Amino acid sequence: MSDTEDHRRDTYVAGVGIHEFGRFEKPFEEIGKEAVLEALDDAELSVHDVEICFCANTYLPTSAGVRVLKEIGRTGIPNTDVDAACAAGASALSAASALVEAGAADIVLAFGVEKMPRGFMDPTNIYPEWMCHMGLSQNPQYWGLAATRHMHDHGTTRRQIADVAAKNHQNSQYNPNAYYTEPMNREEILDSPVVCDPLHQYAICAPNDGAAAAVICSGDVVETRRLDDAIEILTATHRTEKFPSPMGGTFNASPAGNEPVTTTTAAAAYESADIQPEDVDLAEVQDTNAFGEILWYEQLDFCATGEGGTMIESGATRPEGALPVNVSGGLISKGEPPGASPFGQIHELVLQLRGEAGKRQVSDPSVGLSHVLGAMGQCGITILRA
Amino acid sequence: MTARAFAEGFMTNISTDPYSATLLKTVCRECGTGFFGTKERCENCASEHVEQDELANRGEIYSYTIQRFPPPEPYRLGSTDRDTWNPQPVAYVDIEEIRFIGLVDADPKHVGIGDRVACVIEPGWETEDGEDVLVYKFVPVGDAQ
Repeated sequence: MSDTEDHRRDTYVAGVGIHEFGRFEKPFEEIGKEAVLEALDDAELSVHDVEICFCANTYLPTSAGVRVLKEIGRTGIPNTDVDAACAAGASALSAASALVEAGAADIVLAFGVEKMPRGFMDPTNIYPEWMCHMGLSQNPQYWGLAATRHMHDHGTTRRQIADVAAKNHQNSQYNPNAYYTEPMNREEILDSPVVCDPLHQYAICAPNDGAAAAVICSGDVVETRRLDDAIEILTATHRTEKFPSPMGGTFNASPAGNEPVTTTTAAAAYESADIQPEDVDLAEVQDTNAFGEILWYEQLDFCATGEGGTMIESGATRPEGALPVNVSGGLISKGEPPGASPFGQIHELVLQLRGEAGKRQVSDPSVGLSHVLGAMGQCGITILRA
Repeated sequence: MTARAFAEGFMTNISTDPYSATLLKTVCRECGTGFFGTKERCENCASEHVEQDELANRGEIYSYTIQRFPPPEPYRLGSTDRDTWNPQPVAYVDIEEIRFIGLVDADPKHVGIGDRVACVIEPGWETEDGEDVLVYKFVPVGDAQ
């Protein structure tokens, strides 16, 4: 999407908004409305300017998008609700950007909202019944399986996994929109109960409520309306995983010679954005468990396969390091309202690229990367440039 | 007393005295990818040239985890009471060209990557009509303990 000959059709994030992530009594319509209004305000646009809307969510009833829009004002625009598990927001962003780039619209609203059911998520939503009956349906199981193998193949340690969680729990001190803002250190994480070996409780994220929104517009609109704070979208790439996809909900994991979906999505994203992984200045990645972040360092090509543990130890991904990852606190501290989480990442990246991230501000970033990965191997990578 | 498999397409030759069954696999004739159970199309390359066969019952642990908390409902193999839950090893096991997930009947302290296991069949629970539902699990064999 970058370097189009016709820059009028480049795509931008004109504004972002967020409703803090946590647990709230208010209905999802309220939560979504607040994030959307903040994004429109940030873009200095009105709901009347929006031509098309996408609403990402995974656990809401039908017609969530329109239910949010009616709290703002029914302007009659087309709306599509999007589900792609934890990558729903990225999928929505992909579609929104594609429409703007294609000239089908100039201003598109994409937002994610979630209000999670209390207690256990119904596993039959994702797993075949027999796996639930046999106890093969526990959420961090497949992550535990992946981590154990990675430790065997590459020498990754529980300490390194805990260091990722500690980093993110420390980062969240400065994020008022995060759910957990108490800093934690490595020992506290390793002292927390083990859920599925080798993953400790405080190295795993919890689902919660929240919303975040982005107003996407064309280069044409940025120019004519002088939207100086607009941030360019170099790419919004979405892919589904080839076989196997041992990401929850499946029981077959036979090797078939395919790359994992984060690897393939990243390669496609870097090519589409015409950048190299070294050009990325900061990243917000899917840390639903802390081991995952180590894996993403490798699969996003920030380091070689097997070197993810070394990378966290090097300090490179700390806020003051060469490639800060999850300065927002990550999903581990923010919690995860699945539909909203990619937009939460975009919100953070936009603030950082504008230099408006306050205490979380990293040093002079130009290029930010957002990565989300959901059940059934649905992956979205969005790259922004100041 | 009759018995059936935990789900359609996974077992054949089911008998109850003693409990036994043959597990099934499907292998794609075009790309060679293998799947536990029955498939009509290859999940890898979309080919319809897939062949069902019997799954051998010896394999090796590729990876494992230990489930320290009871799983969510609907669980049928026992109680989900936190106080009585025993840590349960779960593994990916390689049998021929198939890698699939299953429970491991072993002491959590003695489960390791590379352990040789056998795949055994046993009754898991009873349906409302009193029929036994047969399940599979992995059991360490040989020197691996």
